[in-house]
This record gives sequence, C-alpha cells and structure tokens, in this order.
Amino acid sequence: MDQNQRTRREFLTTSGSAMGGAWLLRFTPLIAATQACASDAMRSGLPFTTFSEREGADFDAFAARLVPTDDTPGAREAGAVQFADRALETFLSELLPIVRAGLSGMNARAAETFGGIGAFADLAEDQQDQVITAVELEDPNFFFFARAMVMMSLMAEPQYGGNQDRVGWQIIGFEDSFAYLPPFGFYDRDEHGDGGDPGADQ
Amino acid sequence: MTRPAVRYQTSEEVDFVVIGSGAAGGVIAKELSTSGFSVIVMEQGPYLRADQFGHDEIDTFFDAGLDGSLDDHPHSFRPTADEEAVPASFRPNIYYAKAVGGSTLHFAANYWRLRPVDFHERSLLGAIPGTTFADWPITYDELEPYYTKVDWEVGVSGEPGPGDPYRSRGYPVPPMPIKSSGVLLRDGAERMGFTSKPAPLAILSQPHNGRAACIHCGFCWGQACEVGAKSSTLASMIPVAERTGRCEVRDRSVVTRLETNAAGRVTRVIYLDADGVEQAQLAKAVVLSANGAETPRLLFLSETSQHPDGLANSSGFVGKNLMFNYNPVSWARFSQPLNEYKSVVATRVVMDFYEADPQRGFYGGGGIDGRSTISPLFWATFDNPMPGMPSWGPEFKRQLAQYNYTMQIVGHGTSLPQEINTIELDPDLVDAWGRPGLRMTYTDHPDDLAFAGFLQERMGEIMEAAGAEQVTAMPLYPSTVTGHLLGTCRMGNDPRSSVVDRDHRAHDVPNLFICDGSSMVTSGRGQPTMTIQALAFRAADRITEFANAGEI
Repeated sequence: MDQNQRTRREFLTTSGSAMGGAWLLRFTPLIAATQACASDAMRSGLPFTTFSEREGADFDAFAARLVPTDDTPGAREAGAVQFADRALETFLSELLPIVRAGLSGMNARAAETFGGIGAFADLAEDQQDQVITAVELEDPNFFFFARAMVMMSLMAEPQYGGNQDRVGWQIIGFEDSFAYLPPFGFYDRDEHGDGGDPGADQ
Repeated sequence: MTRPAVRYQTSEEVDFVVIGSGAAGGVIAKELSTSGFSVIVMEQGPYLRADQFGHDEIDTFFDAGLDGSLDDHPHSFRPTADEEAVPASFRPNIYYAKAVGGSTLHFAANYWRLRPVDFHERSLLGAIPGTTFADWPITYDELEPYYTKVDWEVGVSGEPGPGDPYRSRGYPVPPMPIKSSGVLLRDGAERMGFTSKPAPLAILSQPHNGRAACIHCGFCWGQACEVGAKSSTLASMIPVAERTGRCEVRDRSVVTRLETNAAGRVTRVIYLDADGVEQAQLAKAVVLSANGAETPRLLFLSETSQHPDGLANSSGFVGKNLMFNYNPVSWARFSQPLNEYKSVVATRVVMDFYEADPQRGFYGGGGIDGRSTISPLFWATFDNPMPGMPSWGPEFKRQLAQYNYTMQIVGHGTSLPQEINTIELDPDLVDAWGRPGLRMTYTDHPDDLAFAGFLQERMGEIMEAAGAEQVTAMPLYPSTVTGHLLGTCRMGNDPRSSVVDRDHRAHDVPNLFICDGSSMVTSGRGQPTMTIQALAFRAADRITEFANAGEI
C-alpha cells in the first residue's frame, strides 16, 4: 500500500491504535496480571500456553546453557521458559514467528550435526553448546531475541513472571530496594561523614 | 490552592502557542505565563504524573517506553546522502521522550554550562575545512544570568570547581553525595595531575522550591523520576506555569503544520487532537521548541508557495548542521564492590581537557565523568559482554557477576557542524499521524573522532591510576544513534547562514520564535540541556520585551 495515499478512515484507525496502544497500555495491569501467571505455571507445573511441549523443552535447555546453573541458580531457576511462554503470548507476541522458526532451525542444525530426530533438549550439554555456537552465527536475529528474553527472565522486575526468587538479581548482586542511602560502595565508605547509613553495604 | 486548569477555545487567539513541553518549551511556557500572557503548550505525548513512573526496564528498553514505539514514530538513518537510509527497527537511532516534560524526563541530568570560549571559538581558532564552524551571536556574559536562573528555578545541585566560568551566584543545593565511581575518578585524576569537581546535576540533593530530594533509587538513566527530584520540566516548570491560571498544557496534540498568511505571519497551529481529529488553534505568535529533529520536520511540513523549501528556511539551513556530541566509553573493573546501581548516574567530572588545543593537530574539547553501570536488564543484555568476552555460558555468567565491581568512564566531546549532517523528511516513512517520518544523515567529522581517541586515552590513564584491575576501551564506532539533536535551526546575525536571530526570532517570520537544541551554533562539550534552558530563559525575556513593546 502506498502509505501516502491512505484514506482518512485508515489514518484515523492507525492513529487511534497509536494512541490507544502503546501509551495507554503501559499502565494497565494487564501485562503484569498475565505475567504473574508465569510464576504460577512454574510452581504448579502447568502446561505451556504458547510453546508446544517440544518447543518449551528446547527453549528451557537453550536458556539453561546461556546462563547455566552451577554453584548459583541460573536461567532455569529464574523461570526463563515460563516467562518466554507467556511473553510470546502477550507483549512480545510479534517475536513468536522468529522464535518458533529459530527453535525449529536449532533442531534442524542438531539433526544435521548429531543425527537422530534432532531434539535439541535431548542432546548432551556440550552438543547443545555446539549447536548454539552455530545458531548464534547463522541466525543472529533469533539468537538476539531469544537471548534477550532469557535476560529479561533473569533481570526484569518479577512482575513480568521471571526472576523467580530474585535469582537473576542475586547473580549480579543487585539489592532490590526502592531507596538507598550513602555510603553506596566500598570506595566511598569514608566520604560521607556521619550522615551515612551504617547498615548500607560495606 | 490550586486553580482549576485553564482551557482555551481553538477559536480564541491566545498570545502564544508553545510547541513542545521539554527542556526549552517547559521553561518558555513558565516564563511567558508568569509574565501575564495566555499560553497553550502543545505536547504530542501524554501528560503522565510522577506516580506513573517506575523501574520497568522491559518497558523502557524493549517496549514503547517514554519514547513511543518505532511503528508510531518511524525514522531512518544513513551515514551520507550517497547511501540508502535504513529505517530503525527494534532500537531507535533518535531518542527523545514523547510526554509532558520531553526528554528532561529520562535524561541523566548532567548540567554543564558552556564556557566563554564556546561562543567565539571560530574567531579564536579560524575556519575548519568541511565545516560551518561559526561564532555564536551572543556571549557567555549575556547568557550567564540565565544559567543562574536555570540553577535556581529548574534546580541544579553542584559546587564550583577548577576552570568553571564566572557565575553570579552559587548553586542552590550542594552536590549529590559522591559514589565510588566518583571517588575513583577523583583519585585517579589527582594521581595523574588532573583536577576534578562534583558533577553539576539537575537532581535535587536537598528539598528546593517545594520539591523533594533524591532517594538514590538509581534509575535515572532512560527512566523518569517517581519522586520529582530530577528537575524535569514536568517537575520544575510546568506546575509553576499551570498555577498562573494562564497556561494550558494540551497533551496528545500532534502538530502537523503552522499556517501562515499572505503577510508571512503564522496565524494558526494545525494539530491532531487526542482523538486524531484535526484542530486549528489561533495564536498571536508561536514558539517552536519541539527539539532538533521535530522542529525542522514541522518547518518542512509548513511549506507554502511563499515558503517553498519549508517555513523560515530562506537560508536553506533548516535541518542542516546536525551535531550530536561524541562519547568515548571505557569500562573499568575494581577489586571491591562499587554498587554503581545506586543513586545518580555520575557524581564527579574532569574538565581539564575542555579547551581545544591546536597543538594536538585536531579540533576538539570535552569533559570526562565516572558513571554507573546501567540497571540490571540493560547490563545483562547490552553492556555485557565486554569486547572479546562470550555472550553466553559459564564465562558469561561470571561476567554478569562483575556488575557491582564495574564502572563506566565516559567522555563527552565536541561535534563539528557540517552541512552534510541533516534532519529531513523521509520520502517513504509515515508516522501514526500521517506525517512523514524523519530521515537522519550523519557522519562524524574526523576531528570529532580524533579528539574522542585523545580523551579515551586520558580516561584509561585515570582508571589505571585509580587502581583498576582491568580497563576496556570500547571501539570508537561511527555515530549512528543520538539523544542530542543540536544545530538544525542555528541562531545567527546573518539571515543567509542562520535560521533565527540572536533573540530566537525566525529571520523570515516575525511572529515565529524557535528555541531548543536546534538553536545551538556549536555543540558545546557534551551536555547541552543546561544551555538549551539558559537560551530558553533568555528567549522568553526577549519575547516578553517584544510583546510588551508591540513588536511581534
């Protein structure tokens, strides 16, 4: 369509959606409510709403390789797959085709490399790493968005349904508080006279 | 007592319509309304309140946030006119908030004054090939009283330091408490024989003008302040303007055109209201403060047979000479926690390299600040990994955990004005209101990059001297993204090479004033908002004088 020749009706429809869309939706509780379901889903083992069982298993395995569980929790404990499942249904729905095709491509790459039916989730961890290394180069668009969703599931406000038990913030040492008082860190500990809060870090 | 908000009819000829409610528009609306004039502020975005702001990084960095979506606000970028412009997708090339308060809502609030040298550097240093480097039509001394108004009325915290220009009055509130990044910058600089001072910030360290002090929540950058301690025009200027009972803030009003008559005067402001319905507001005069991208767009959209290249554009300089401010960035890691996620972005600056030095072989000057890592999601997604580090896996997870041991050191430098760097209408993109999208064309001048490299070397030395375990200099990529939109309707005495005169009146249109980042003749050293607001206070003074003398 030549956008310069849109009818007035089309224009009003578009402008209406512009104003009624992004800006007004920002402060509705819809997203938060939907995403809160993600944490319920994780705790009670509910089925996925967007992913197929296979897709969910693959994304979960992918997330667990990006930020693995070692002596501290990783993306799996943060609820990455439950977060992505709900996010792709709601505020990131436009990414669903990219993610779906990307997961499918990851399986194709797995089958090509390791034979069998190519279930990424069933591969050994070092095999999964090989596939991810290839996919990062071959499908950077998918990799970027899939990785971004894993990061969101770790670092975003828990209202979005990820960051279960604040595990993402624990990894980086982010203390969740609405306000802080000086001293803020080790190197400014002697800079604030008696005005600082003795309970603050360091 | 709060008066009921005034509402004007579109058929009522108000004294002024101010287009834009950001850094300049907010100040001018406040000044003109307190001087007794009837004022309507047109803002394309919504009128949000402090209690609607939070720490939602997904909304800020991945969704519409305060800037609105790229579907609604499409724009494209190309380095030069020879290349095809690529529409921004996912992340913008041009950042500015669309809401009452404009980008003063989500800026980091660094408030640096220019120095006297900035205003006459062309005379001092001579012409620079390939540029439109020029003197300003005003001096620092003329602007100084208005810088002081910004300090006191908008609200700036700070403390005078080495190399500061003359100031007629001290800061209203003391500097923000120093963070670990500030201590390390200060001590590293001192060991190198450089000086530093507290960063002047438009964030209140103590209550001032009835507003609350900062609670150090740490979400200044990219986000709006929920306690009103950041001195956005939403917090500082708009409430004063509304209390006069003469200023109406008309939000979600998207201006599409300025209507002019046969005499070449602006008569009406054509806009789409919140329901998308076209309206026409009568006004005696218009002040255009929409920012260095939106202001040229509106002038281009207001073309007529009398103004075939766009309104106020007989010089051909509308949209030209775009300047950003180049930012070299380095990361530094230390052995103990800095916890930089707390409090404001930067608390200390080094200004020893402010002056251009012809001995270096290139033009340029700037300052350095020590600053935060950005909030958690931004850190994980964009800041990490450092160059050469993996972006996933066990090693990446270890990198993530360096969050509290890491700071940024950032340089803020000059960008030379070049006619080839422009804001224009994109021939293909259309925004949600049917207006052509923006097309930005930008290539750094070689001197901009040369100076950035010089500054980045000093930054590395300072961090090494401060005891950093690791310093990583980010590559000096060509600029493609900006929140600083400067120079696109520059002020000047010669109507052939400037768009507005020294009093911000359009050379071509007697009742049109233009004041925002587009007015700047040179880029300054990297933190333009303080100067934009000083210009706005001064412009409002001059406009008031003209109006009272019947000279508009």
